[in-house]
Amino acid sequence: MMDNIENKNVSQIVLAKIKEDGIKPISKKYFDFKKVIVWSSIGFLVLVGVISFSIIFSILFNNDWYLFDRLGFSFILKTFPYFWLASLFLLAILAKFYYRKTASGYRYRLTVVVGGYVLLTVIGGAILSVAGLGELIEESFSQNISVYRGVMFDKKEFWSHPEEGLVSGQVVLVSEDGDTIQLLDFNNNLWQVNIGETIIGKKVQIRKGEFLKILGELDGKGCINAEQIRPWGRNQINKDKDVGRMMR
Amino acid sequence: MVNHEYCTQNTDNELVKLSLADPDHFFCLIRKYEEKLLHYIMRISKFRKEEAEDVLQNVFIKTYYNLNGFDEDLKFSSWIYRIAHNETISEIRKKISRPSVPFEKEDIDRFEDAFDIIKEIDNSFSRQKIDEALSKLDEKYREVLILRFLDEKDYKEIADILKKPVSTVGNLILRGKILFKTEYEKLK
Repeated sequence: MMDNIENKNVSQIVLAKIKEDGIKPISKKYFDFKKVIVWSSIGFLVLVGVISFSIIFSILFNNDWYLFDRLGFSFILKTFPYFWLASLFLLAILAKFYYRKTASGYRYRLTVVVGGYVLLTVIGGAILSVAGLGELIEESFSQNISVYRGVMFDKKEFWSHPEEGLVSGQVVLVSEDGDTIQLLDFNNNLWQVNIGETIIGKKVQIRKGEFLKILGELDGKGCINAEQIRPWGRNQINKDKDVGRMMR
Repeated sequence: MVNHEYCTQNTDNELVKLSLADPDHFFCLIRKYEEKLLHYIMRISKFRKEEAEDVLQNVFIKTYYNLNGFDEDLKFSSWIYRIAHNETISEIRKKISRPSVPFEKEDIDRFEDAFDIIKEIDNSFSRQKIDEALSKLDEKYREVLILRFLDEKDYKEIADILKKPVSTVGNLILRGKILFKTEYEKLK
């Protein structure tokens, strides 16, 4: 009933069309579902971003920065986590795309949305990294995904250049006087390493079965004169503070 | 009974809820916005009244179809203007026409006041110049100037209609005013 109003033209046509064509409003569930999808996607992107940053932090914290003095900028170029930074860039673009699809997504500038995303993922990533999860996830990726190993900095390969004084592997024997060890590298070569005048991190255990990184010099007799010994795996975040304990 | 008195007793948001229950109530929303939106469509397009009415019908059908998606954080007027804007732009693109702006006398007065333009004795001359100057502007400037100075929307409403940040709208209006005045001065 639409009495008492003049100029019914458009209103009458529209209402007649709605009724004749049986047009019904799209269900509220459809819009709710869309919202859930969009916000879940944003949540997922934030989560992946947090993980990415935790891995970046872990890689940067655990990087062998002391090698910078020896290798210079090429060391940074070799070890920089390009893959994760590129991933984050892509994730930030996707997050911005999905955020624009939310009801209020247009209210903020691109820089605010991307900046907010980066800030959120940096904070989350730092927390995860401090909790040690970044390193665990990174290790898990390295061990289980061959493609990932292909795109990431190859630590084993990097530490398998005795001619440059970079050796790594597992301790198979420690001499009685503790001055030499035998190290089986990742290419199954056995090395005799002199550690008598070596800087050893506090967390390094010189014992059979330990995996170590050795920075030193190859002498003419096929032995390595170690200058520094570092643990291969975890807990290296504060390594610089640990340095200083001499064998003798 | 859905009549004028009944319509004015309810807010837009109440009418949205009532329309969802019974399409007859949608009549109130159509009545409230049809004239404003018709003018708006004609202002941002080159359409004749009949063409604009066709667009307007589609706007109301789309509005009704998407009524459950109306976000109550927005003003209903901003939401329906947004639908009208998108529908009109889509029609303009289909017709590949260059919009010009039909003006009422009040529109000319508002423009002259807003831009500190010396009033012409002959309104039709003013109308032609404003129309020409506006037509020379980029779409992004033209649409904010029309919404701000002809439809008298505030920055927040314009931001909601065009789905742009308020700060961007502010910049577009500022720049649009300068460009409009430059174009207008050239026509003197």
